[in-house]
Amino acid sequence: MYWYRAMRGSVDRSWASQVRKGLVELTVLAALAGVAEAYGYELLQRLAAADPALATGESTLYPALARLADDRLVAVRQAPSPAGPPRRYYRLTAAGRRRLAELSAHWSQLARAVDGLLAAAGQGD
Amino acid sequence: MSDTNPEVRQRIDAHLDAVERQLAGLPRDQRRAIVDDLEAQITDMLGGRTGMATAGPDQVAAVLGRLDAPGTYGVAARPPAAAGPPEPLPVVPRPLCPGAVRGACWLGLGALAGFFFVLAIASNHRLFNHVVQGADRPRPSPWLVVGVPAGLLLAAAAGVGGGTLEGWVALGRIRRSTGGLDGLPLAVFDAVTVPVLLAWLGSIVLWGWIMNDGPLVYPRDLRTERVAAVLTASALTFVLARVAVRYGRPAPAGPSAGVPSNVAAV
Repeated sequence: MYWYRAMRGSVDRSWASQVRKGLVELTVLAALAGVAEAYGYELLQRLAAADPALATGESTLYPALARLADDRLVAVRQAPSPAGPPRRYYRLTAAGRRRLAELSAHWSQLARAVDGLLAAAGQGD
Repeated sequence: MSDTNPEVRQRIDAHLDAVERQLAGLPRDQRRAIVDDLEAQITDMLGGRTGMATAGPDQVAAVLGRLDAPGTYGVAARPPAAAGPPEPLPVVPRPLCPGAVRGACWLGLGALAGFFFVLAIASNHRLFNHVVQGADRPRPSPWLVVGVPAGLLLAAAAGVGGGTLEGWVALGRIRRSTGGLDGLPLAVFDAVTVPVLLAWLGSIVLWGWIMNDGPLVYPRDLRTERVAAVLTASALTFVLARVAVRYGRPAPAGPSAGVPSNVAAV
């Protein structure tokens, strides 16, 4: 029984992890939309503080930020930090705002669809 | 950051290098961006520049332990674009664990002191014979006869014991560096020196007792006794070396190793 529960818990965590990874672009763009700019560690803390379900590890966030910068969805400003090495500040670009609007609309549609399915199955709220 | 403890700097650099190696499929600027963000985070977690200057190896190990393991960055490295093959990563040699080198130096000094101890004993023996045989030589001073060999013996014991202790400490550091530090064979050599010496001494005494006074008393066979002692000591040496290697081998970085304590695994 213990092994079954442990295995099932592991599967649940893995599923949740995959879902969060799929949503990382949306959550990062959304987190940046609420501020003028933010550096990597600040975003990590902002996501964790917003809701534990949105908390992500730096091994997911920093590569996502690098990809978004590469796709010109965020702009990067490197500035010296009194605390240590230079920090990279990320800011949403116009293209990033458009992308956020697209992803947001898609997410709303997807969430409604899944909620509908769950409600029909008697699993909804 | 020049005032940072060199060992602290070395550990952080080893972690950053390990992460960068995992990102081999990404373009160079993306790799640098990720590593720069991570370095800034580590500095913040250690309390900024001031915290870095005062941080010890244990604090750094605790902070690095709360980060995602370097292996988890591998999935972030998406396949390279059709533009061409990925840029080769610069090969960064792993630094040799300073503790292992210090241990070897201690052992070297111990061996040197042991060598001079033997010379001093032999020299005393010759002096003693001259005096007994009535040679025209002054009687050596007690300080020379007892003090010098005793001092050398003490130095030899301190060197060998210190080297062994340094070896075990170095093994622990190599294990905790998760691949960031080199020098495992040297640290193993340092760590097993005293145990191996004791194993050999114990085997010789044990087989001497077994063959002469113990339960297997039969006409003394010096050759069998020596072979048995050498075989026993060799087996013990092998076991000790294996134990030391296992203790010092860096743990493989698993995906759960570095999940921040305040952040759910993603």
